[in-house]
Amino acid sequence: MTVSTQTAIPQDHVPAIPNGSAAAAILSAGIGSFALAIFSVATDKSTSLKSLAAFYRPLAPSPA
Amino acid sequence: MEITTRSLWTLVHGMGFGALYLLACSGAIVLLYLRSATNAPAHSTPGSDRILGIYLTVMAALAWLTVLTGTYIVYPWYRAAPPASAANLAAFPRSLLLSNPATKQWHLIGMEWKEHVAWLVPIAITMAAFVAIKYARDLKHSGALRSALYGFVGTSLFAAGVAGFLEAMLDKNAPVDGGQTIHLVQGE
Repeated sequence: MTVSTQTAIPQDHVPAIPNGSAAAAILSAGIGSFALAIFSVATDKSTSLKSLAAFYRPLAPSPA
Repeated sequence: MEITTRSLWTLVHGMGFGALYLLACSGAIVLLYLRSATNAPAHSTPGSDRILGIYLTVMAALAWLTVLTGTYIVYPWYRAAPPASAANLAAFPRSLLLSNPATKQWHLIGMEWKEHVAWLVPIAITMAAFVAIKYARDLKHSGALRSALYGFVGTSLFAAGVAGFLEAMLDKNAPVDGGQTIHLVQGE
């Protein structure tokens, strides 16, 4: 006969890990998305930015 | 039975990578909920953590493949400018849509969404994959982290769903077609 001495660790007592890198990942995704939005609108409204963004001709911003 | 190379790439982009991504989204939401809900059963193991990580990484890869094939392979064919003397615009989908007031908005709204908003999908899901892998078991203990993760996954699903719908409508009104013909099955 064997007796198990294993005890379960309560889920509530799992130590929290620092969330700095998660915050950095979320913030960078947010900044990237926001920058994409700003750049899209800016290239649509400014002809100089539009030509600046045309670094690959087949994908250059659509002509007006 | 035959298909052109441009149609094949459009299928790979939309029905291959894009549709697979949309199918995977519902699974990701359920997996993340089961992992992080405060009243969910405690069944997180290193094995299931690994599966969640692989699942979200594959989703991120699918999202990047979808936007990259769409942007760098299919989109140049879509937006090719027709010569001034062109009478038939069938090979120039963008110009074909813009030439008709009834279809113009499909380009102005539909393709604009696909060009810009759809890029949020891989950005959001790559971040979600990183956070879910790193914090798999700890998600349950951080409401703010969980909310941010759900928000980005939801945004990614919404942006991809709208892009998928618009892709279907654009392809219905002005399909990207042409290039070499590939014979799949020879007729009798």
